[in-house]
Amino acid sequence: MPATKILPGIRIEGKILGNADVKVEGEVSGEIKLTSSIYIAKNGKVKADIEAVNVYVAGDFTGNISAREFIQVSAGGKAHGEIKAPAISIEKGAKFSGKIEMVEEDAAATVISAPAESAEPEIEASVEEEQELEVPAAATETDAE
Amino acid sequence: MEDKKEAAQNTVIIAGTRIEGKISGNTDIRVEGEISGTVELDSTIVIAGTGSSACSIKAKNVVIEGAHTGDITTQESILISPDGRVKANLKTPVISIEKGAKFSGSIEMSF
Repeated sequence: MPATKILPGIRIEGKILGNADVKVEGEVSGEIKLTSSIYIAKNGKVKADIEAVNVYVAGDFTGNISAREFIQVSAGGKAHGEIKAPAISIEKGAKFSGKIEMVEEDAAATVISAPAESAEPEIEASVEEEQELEVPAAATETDAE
Repeated sequence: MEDKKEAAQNTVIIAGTRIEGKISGNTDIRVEGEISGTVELDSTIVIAGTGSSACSIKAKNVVIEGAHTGDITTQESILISPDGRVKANLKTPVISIEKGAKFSGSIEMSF
Protein backbone atom coordinates (compact mmCIF):
# COMPACT_ATOMS: atom_id res chain seq x y z
CA MET A 1 0.00 0.00 0.00
CA PRO A 2 1.46 3.36 -0.97
CA ALA A 3 2.19 5.78 1.80
CA THR A 4 4.18 8.88 2.39
CA LYS A 5 7.41 7.79 4.02
CA ILE A 6 9.69 10.04 5.96
CA LEU A 7 12.94 8.15 6.33
CA PRO A 8 15.80 8.48 8.81
CA GLY A 9 17.91 11.53 8.06
CA ILE A 10 14.90 13.70 7.29
CA ARG A 11 13.36 16.17 9.66
CA ILE A 12 10.09 18.02 9.14
CA GLU A 13 9.02 20.97 11.22
CA GLY A 14 5.54 22.21 10.43
CA LYS A 15 2.32 20.67 9.25
CA ILE A 16 1.55 17.41 7.54
CA LEU A 17 -1.93 17.20 6.05
CA GLY A 18 -3.81 14.95 3.72
CA ASN A 19 -5.61 11.72 3.03
CA ALA A 20 -2.71 9.38 2.29
CA ASP A 21 -1.14 7.20 4.96
CA VAL A 22 2.08 8.42 6.49
CA LYS A 23 4.95 6.42 7.90
CA VAL A 24 7.57 8.22 9.96
CA GLU A 25 11.03 6.75 10.41
CA GLY A 26 12.67 10.17 10.64
CA GLU A 27 11.69 13.16 12.76
CA VAL A 28 8.58 15.26 12.68
CA SER A 29 7.55 18.12 14.88
CA GLY A 30 4.48 20.31 14.61
CA GLU A 31 1.02 19.29 13.61
CA ILE A 32 -0.34 16.30 11.73
CA LYS A 33 -3.91 16.23 10.44
CA LEU A 34 -4.90 13.27 8.32
CA THR A 35 -8.03 11.56 7.16
CA SER A 36 -5.93 8.42 6.99
CA SER A 37 -3.51 6.57 9.22
CA ILE A 38 -0.10 7.33 10.61
CA TYR A 39 2.54 4.87 11.66
CA ILE A 40 5.46 6.05 13.79
CA ALA A 41 8.08 3.40 13.14
CA LYS A 42 10.64 2.06 15.56
CA ASN A 43 13.24 4.76 14.98
CA GLY A 44 10.78 7.52 14.24
CA LYS A 45 10.43 10.52 16.52
CA VAL A 46 7.32 12.63 16.53
CA LYS A 47 6.56 15.64 18.66
CA ALA A 48 3.21 16.82 17.45
CA ASP A 49 -0.49 17.04 17.89
CA ILE A 50 -2.05 14.37 15.73
CA GLU A 51 -5.52 14.01 14.31
CA ALA A 52 -5.98 10.88 12.23
CA VAL A 53 -8.10 7.77 11.77
CA ASN A 54 -5.61 5.24 13.13
CA VAL A 55 -2.39 5.99 14.94
CA TYR A 56 0.31 3.37 15.53
CA VAL A 57 3.22 4.24 17.78
CA ALA A 58 6.24 1.93 17.66
CA GLY A 59 8.78 4.75 18.09
CA ASP A 60 8.91 7.89 20.22
CA PHE A 61 5.88 10.10 20.47
CA THR A 62 5.23 13.22 22.52
CA GLY A 63 2.07 15.24 22.13
CA ASN A 64 -1.66 14.72 21.91
CA ILE A 65 -3.50 12.28 19.70
CA SER A 66 -7.10 12.28 18.69
CA ALA A 67 -7.92 9.26 16.58
CA ARG A 68 -11.24 8.55 14.94
CA GLU A 69 -10.85 4.77 15.24
CA PHE A 70 -7.84 3.32 16.97
CA ILE A 71 -4.58 4.09 18.73
CA GLN A 72 -1.95 1.48 19.36
CA VAL A 73 1.27 1.86 21.30
CA SER A 74 3.18 -1.28 20.46
CA ALA A 75 6.04 -3.02 22.24
CA GLY A 76 9.10 -0.78 22.14
CA GLY A 77 6.97 2.30 21.53
CA LYS A 78 7.03 5.28 23.87
CA ALA A 79 4.17 7.70 24.09
CA HIS A 80 3.80 10.72 26.28
CA GLY A 81 0.73 12.93 26.27
CA GLU A 82 -3.02 12.84 26.06
CA ILE A 83 -4.56 10.32 23.74
CA LYS A 84 -8.17 10.00 22.75
CA ALA A 85 -9.90 7.35 20.64
CA PRO A 86 -12.79 4.87 20.77
CA ALA A 87 -10.30 2.01 20.95
CA ILE A 88 -6.82 2.10 22.43
CA SER A 89 -4.29 -0.64 22.87
CA ILE A 90 -1.07 -0.44 24.86
CA GLU A 91 0.97 -3.55 24.24
CA LYS A 92 3.23 -5.27 26.69
CA GLY A 93 6.64 -3.62 26.53
CA ALA A 94 5.26 -0.25 25.54
CA LYS A 95 5.77 2.86 27.65
CA PHE A 96 3.02 5.33 28.15
CA SER A 97 2.63 8.28 30.41
CA GLY A 98 -0.23 10.71 30.23
CA LYS A 99 -3.95 10.59 29.91
CA ILE A 100 -6.21 8.27 28.03
CA GLU A 101 -9.72 9.11 27.06
CA MET A 102 -11.81 6.50 25.39
CA VAL A 103 -14.59 8.14 23.55
CA GLU A 104 -17.76 6.11 23.69
CA GLU A 105 -18.67 4.60 20.38
CA ASP A 106 -20.73 1.57 21.28
CA ALA A 107 -18.84 -1.18 23.09
CA ALA A 108 -15.71 -0.46 21.16
CA ALA A 109 -13.00 -3.07 21.29
CA THR A 110 -10.65 -1.91 24.01
CA VAL A 111 -7.61 -4.01 24.51
CA ILE A 112 -4.88 -3.47 27.04
CA SER A 113 -2.61 -6.41 26.44
CA ALA A 114 -0.31 -8.14 24.05
CA PRO A 115 -1.60 -10.86 21.71
CA ALA A 116 -4.49 -12.85 23.15
CA GLU A 117 -2.82 -15.45 25.41
CA SER A 118 -1.37 -13.72 28.46
CA ALA A 119 -4.09 -12.01 30.36
CA GLU A 120 -2.96 -10.22 33.54
CA PRO A 121 0.50 -9.79 34.92
CA GLU A 122 2.24 -7.68 32.31
CA ILE A 123 0.38 -4.44 32.81
CA GLU A 124 1.86 -3.59 36.21
CA ALA A 125 5.45 -3.78 35.08
CA SER A 126 5.22 -1.20 32.37
CA VAL A 127 2.92 1.16 34.24
CA GLU A 128 5.03 1.25 37.39
CA GLU A 129 8.13 2.40 35.59
CA GLU A 130 6.60 5.64 34.50
CA GLN A 131 4.39 6.57 37.39
CA GLU A 132 2.42 9.55 36.32
CA LEU A 133 -0.88 8.49 37.65
CA GLU A 134 -2.78 11.12 39.62
CA VAL A 135 -3.71 9.23 42.78
CA PRO A 136 -0.31 8.38 44.28
CA ALA A 137 1.03 11.86 43.67
CA ALA A 138 -1.60 13.51 45.83
CA ALA A 139 -1.29 10.87 48.54
CA THR A 140 2.47 11.12 49.02
CA GLU A 141 2.38 14.86 49.28
CA THR A 142 0.23 14.86 52.39
CA ASP A 143 2.22 12.00 53.91
CA ALA A 144 5.45 13.93 53.67
CA GLU A 145 4.17 16.69 55.89
CA MET B 1 3.50 -0.71 7.26
CA GLU B 2 5.46 -3.73 6.14
CA ASP B 3 6.80 -3.35 2.65
CA LYS B 4 10.40 -4.41 3.01
CA LYS B 5 11.14 -5.33 -0.54
CA GLU B 6 11.17 -1.82 -1.98
CA ALA B 7 14.66 -1.25 -3.27
CA ALA B 8 14.62 2.52 -3.57
CA GLN B 9 14.53 3.56 0.05
CA ASN B 10 13.76 7.22 -0.21
CA THR B 11 11.59 9.53 1.71
CA VAL B 12 8.48 9.83 -0.44
CA ILE B 13 5.70 12.32 0.01
CA ILE B 14 2.93 10.78 -2.04
CA ALA B 15 -0.05 12.43 -3.68
CA GLY B 16 -2.63 13.11 -1.01
CA THR B 17 -0.10 14.38 1.49
CA ARG B 18 0.69 18.02 2.01
CA ILE B 19 3.53 19.34 4.12
CA GLU B 20 3.77 22.96 5.22
CA GLY B 21 6.91 24.03 7.02
CA LYS B 22 10.52 23.10 7.03
CA ILE B 23 12.01 19.91 5.67
CA SER B 24 15.65 19.30 6.44
CA GLY B 25 18.07 16.41 6.38
CA ASN B 26 20.68 14.43 4.53
CA THR B 27 18.78 11.72 2.69
CA ASP B 28 16.98 11.94 -0.64
CA ILE B 29 13.37 13.01 -0.99
CA ARG B 30 10.80 12.47 -3.70
CA VAL B 31 7.74 14.69 -3.71
CA GLU B 32 4.62 13.40 -5.44
CA GLY B 33 2.30 15.40 -3.19
CA GLU B 34 2.48 19.02 -2.14
CA ILE B 35 5.03 20.89 -0.11
CA SER B 36 5.34 24.50 0.91
CA GLY B 37 7.83 26.31 3.10
CA THR B 38 11.56 25.69 3.09
CA VAL B 39 13.70 22.72 2.19
CA GLU B 40 17.30 22.35 3.33
CA LEU B 41 19.05 19.16 2.34
CA ASP B 42 22.57 17.83 1.88
CA SER B 43 21.07 15.44 -0.64
CA THR B 44 18.79 15.31 -3.66
CA ILE B 45 15.16 16.33 -3.95
CA VAL B 46 12.93 15.30 -6.84
CA ILE B 47 9.66 17.08 -7.47
CA ALA B 48 7.86 14.36 -9.41
CA GLY B 49 5.32 14.86 -12.18
CA THR B 50 2.35 14.90 -9.84
CA GLY B 51 4.20 16.91 -7.24
CA SER B 52 3.99 20.58 -6.58
CA SER B 53 6.25 22.69 -4.47
CA ALA B 54 6.11 26.29 -3.30
CA CYS B 55 9.36 26.35 -1.40
CA SER B 56 12.72 27.92 -1.22
CA ILE B 57 15.08 25.01 -1.68
CA LYS B 58 18.70 24.52 -0.75
CA ALA B 59 20.00 21.11 -1.72
CA LYS B 60 22.80 19.23 -3.39
CA ASN B 61 20.78 18.33 -6.49
CA VAL B 62 17.29 19.33 -7.52
CA VAL B 63 15.24 17.57 -10.19
CA ILE B 64 11.92 19.06 -11.23
CA GLU B 65 9.45 17.01 -13.20
CA GLY B 66 6.39 18.74 -11.76
CA ALA B 67 5.56 22.27 -10.67
CA HIS B 68 7.79 24.45 -8.59
CA THR B 69 7.74 28.05 -7.42
CA GLY B 70 10.49 29.47 -5.23
CA ASP B 71 14.19 30.11 -5.20
CA ILE B 72 16.62 27.24 -5.53
CA THR B 73 20.28 27.08 -4.58
CA THR B 74 22.21 23.89 -5.21
CA GLN B 75 25.72 22.67 -4.54
CA GLU B 76 25.76 20.52 -7.65
CA SER B 77 22.98 20.67 -10.21
CA ILE B 78 19.44 21.53 -11.22
CA LEU B 79 17.53 19.56 -13.81
CA ILE B 80 14.19 20.69 -15.18
CA SER B 81 12.76 17.83 -17.17
CA PRO B 82 10.40 18.17 -20.17
CA ASP B 83 7.22 18.33 -18.08
CA GLY B 84 8.65 20.58 -15.42
CA ARG B 85 7.16 24.02 -14.80
CA VAL B 86 9.33 26.33 -12.76
CA LYS B 87 9.09 29.93 -11.60
CA ALA B 88 12.20 30.72 -9.68
CA ASN B 89 15.56 32.33 -9.26
CA LEU B 90 18.18 29.63 -9.56
CA LYS B 91 21.75 29.56 -8.31
CA THR B 92 23.74 26.53 -9.33
CA PRO B 93 27.03 25.41 -10.90
CA VAL B 94 25.30 23.09 -13.39
CA ILE B 95 21.86 23.42 -14.94
CA SER B 96 19.88 21.64 -17.55
CA ILE B 97 16.52 22.78 -18.86
CA GLU B 98 15.17 20.18 -21.19
CA LYS B 99 13.10 20.83 -24.28
CA GLY B 100 9.44 21.11 -23.31
CA ALA B 101 10.14 22.48 -19.86
CA LYS B 102 8.68 25.81 -18.82
CA PHE B 103 10.86 28.19 -16.93
CA SER B 104 10.60 31.79 -15.95
CA GLY B 105 12.99 33.53 -13.63
CA SER B 106 16.68 34.12 -13.36
CA ILE B 107 19.71 31.88 -13.39
CA GLU B 108 22.99 32.61 -11.73
CA MET B 109 25.88 30.28 -12.43
CA SER B 110 29.27 30.43 -10.87
CA PHE B 111 32.09 29.91 -13.36
